[in-house]
Amino acid sequence: MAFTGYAFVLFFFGIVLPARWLLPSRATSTVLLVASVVFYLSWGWKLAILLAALTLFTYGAGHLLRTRKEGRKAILTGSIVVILGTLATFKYAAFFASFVPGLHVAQLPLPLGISFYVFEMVSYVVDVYRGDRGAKSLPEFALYVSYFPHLIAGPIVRASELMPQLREEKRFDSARVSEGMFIMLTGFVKKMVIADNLSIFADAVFKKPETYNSIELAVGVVAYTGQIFCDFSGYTDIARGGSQMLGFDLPENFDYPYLSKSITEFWRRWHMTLSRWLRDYLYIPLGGNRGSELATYRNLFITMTLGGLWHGARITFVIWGAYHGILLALHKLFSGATRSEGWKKAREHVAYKAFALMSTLVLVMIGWVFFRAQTFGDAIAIFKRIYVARPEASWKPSAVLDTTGWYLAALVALHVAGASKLGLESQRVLPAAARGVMWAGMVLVLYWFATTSPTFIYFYF
Amino acid sequence: MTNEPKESPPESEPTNSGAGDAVPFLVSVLSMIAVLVTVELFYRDSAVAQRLRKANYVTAKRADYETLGGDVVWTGDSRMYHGLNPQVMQESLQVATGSTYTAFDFGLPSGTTAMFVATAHEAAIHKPPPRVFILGVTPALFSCCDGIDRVQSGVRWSAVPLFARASWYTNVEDAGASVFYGASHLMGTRAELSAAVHDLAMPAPLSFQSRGYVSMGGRVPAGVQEQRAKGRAAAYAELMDKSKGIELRPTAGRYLGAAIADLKRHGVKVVVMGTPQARQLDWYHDEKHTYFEYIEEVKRITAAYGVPFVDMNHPPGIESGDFTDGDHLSEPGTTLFTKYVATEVVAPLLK
Repeated sequence: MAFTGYAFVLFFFGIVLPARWLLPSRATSTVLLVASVVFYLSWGWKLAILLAALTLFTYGAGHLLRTRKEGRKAILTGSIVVILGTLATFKYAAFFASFVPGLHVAQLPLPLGISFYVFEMVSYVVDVYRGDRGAKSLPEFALYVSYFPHLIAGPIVRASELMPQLREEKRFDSARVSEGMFIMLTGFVKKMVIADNLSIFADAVFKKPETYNSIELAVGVVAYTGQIFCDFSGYTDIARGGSQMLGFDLPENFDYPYLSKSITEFWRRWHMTLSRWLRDYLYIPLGGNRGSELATYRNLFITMTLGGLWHGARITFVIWGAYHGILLALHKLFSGATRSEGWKKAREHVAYKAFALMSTLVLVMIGWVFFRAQTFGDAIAIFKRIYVARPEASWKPSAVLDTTGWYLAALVALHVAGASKLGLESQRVLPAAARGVMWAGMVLVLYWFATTSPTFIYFYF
Repeated sequence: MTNEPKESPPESEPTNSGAGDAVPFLVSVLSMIAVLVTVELFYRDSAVAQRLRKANYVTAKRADYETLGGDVVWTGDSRMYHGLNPQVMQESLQVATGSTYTAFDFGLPSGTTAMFVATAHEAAIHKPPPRVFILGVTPALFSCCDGIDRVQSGVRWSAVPLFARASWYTNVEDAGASVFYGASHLMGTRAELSAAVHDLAMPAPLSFQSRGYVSMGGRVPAGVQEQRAKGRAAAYAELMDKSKGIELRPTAGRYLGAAIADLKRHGVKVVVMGTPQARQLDWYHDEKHTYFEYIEEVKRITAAYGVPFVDMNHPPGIESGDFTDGDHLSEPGTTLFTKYVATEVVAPLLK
């Protein structure tokens, strides 16, 4: 049951939303837990067994950490080893075995959402170890982990963010539910209209780069840049909007990251909950920026490289992560060296801002080539062809390239409107009936322009 | 986030909503629905919708069938579409039974078992329903194409429970989609309409030679037939290759079961028939492909519903030269095959 499918629309609007608000508030947790279980079971019962087992284990570990006074460090270490070990077994065993000559380990099918819920479980045991109260009961913990809006592809939520909300008694608030509806519809448009249409050209280019000239390849890279943003942030919008309609806030995950003026700012605006997790549970425990400058750069590099590996067992993800680690370290170095008043003034200049924005975007796009390519060789081949495969004099843009151009224009418009909160503000000031007309307009946009891709890029991570 | 200020404790069991709070949201939702329903109603009777219905095999044949009806009706993929000739069927039944019967060809190019649910339902609800209905099945249909996506505009509201029951736990997306396709013509014809807008041209209306049938024409030279058949054989083998992780898809069989159940409920005699193919396609009849699993699956389904399974994979008297490729009988081949099916399969059921 994918967010963009008819089954989910019926499930959410026909069953879960009415049940959540029409039944007595004491039934809310049960309704949401049952809905979450049904949602996950729709992907297969075998996946649900693993999730249930890890949920039981993590809750048990949390309980021990809360109640025991001795051996807590060993419990924490053991539970992290088991939780991350499960992820490693499913995701990385075959990858690492491939580096050992003569050793062959079959790649296991990746359980849906495991990369996300495993991180939430790790954050839970660490937070309880650090003094958080944790879940009051197993059902409460199970709901935190399996809450369907964030289960498959985030945002990565902390127990302390969601559990207190689940305990609060809520009243139906039209303004907030309506805002949730708008956010959700925006997510559908981002994913089904922009991302899926951009993917047509981007997929073709990355599949057979040798058949495209430099202009087409460059547009293909830009198209993928737009696709991955709209795909993932669209998913997050659907998750956040849906959750808000149910009365619970999920954290922001994207803040129009392509408008960033530095790579550091990009990582504050891209997949924010992953960045936050990496910072709190990896970068800071590694030492963060508390040591020497060199140690800080090392910590950044390690954090980002492992963050790249989190996306998948592929060398290109590792390279992508390492690339961003180097960029972050270089930016830190640059920021340290340019603290003078002159530089401060220069940074305020519009030309500097434009240059910073464009150069950051180009650096991010270079990274996406590694991220999207299947092998390092493929990525290098794309860069080479962008440089050498000049279009012939008789070349004309194909129809699909033209169409991609329109969707890229839509992407720019989305950034302009989104960054200025145009949609949300309109939604707030419009009378209720007019708001409904606006929603209908968004549904019709989906009707006319959506293509059907049943999955999201981040489902595979 | 902002929460409502806490009020004094309610005297009765608290519920989550207050009617006053919900009104603006409900007004917005109703207003959205009103706009969408208006667009839907406007579209239903529009010339565009009518034109698109004529360009879709399920809806175009439905229109013909509603007018013509048939005592003997069949559905299936293109093997059935071009493989049985209604005119020949009527004449052969006259000879075999001494009575006059009408026939209708509900075969569909690239038909899937999901589409057969739609066509079987058309027959089941027709007044009067057919006396015999033949469901033609082809091996690859059970391992490749079990989705509802190709039958969108052919889903009637009354058929939604059939689709939903067949797919709700093996393909929950199909179950959900059937509700939307059944309820909304706009959703049902979305693929065709989007393509028309994209191409800036309406698709050409379909027409049929006689009672839903279109001939594949005369025999082709043996070399041409051989070459075409080998190409198709390779494509089928791909769709059934177990070494590539391909296996039977449960929803395909469940759709076949749903079609049989619907027809039986309306008192129609049902025959499930394995469709004919040229001998060049036989090479995937082995353990490496899903062929034997397909046979077992169809036997299981037909036994469960108490209907005969007649495998016409290699019908007597039909040779590779009677096909235009690996799948489609030439007109002379169709005549031979139709006579055989009329005499040996349909006539005994009519008697």
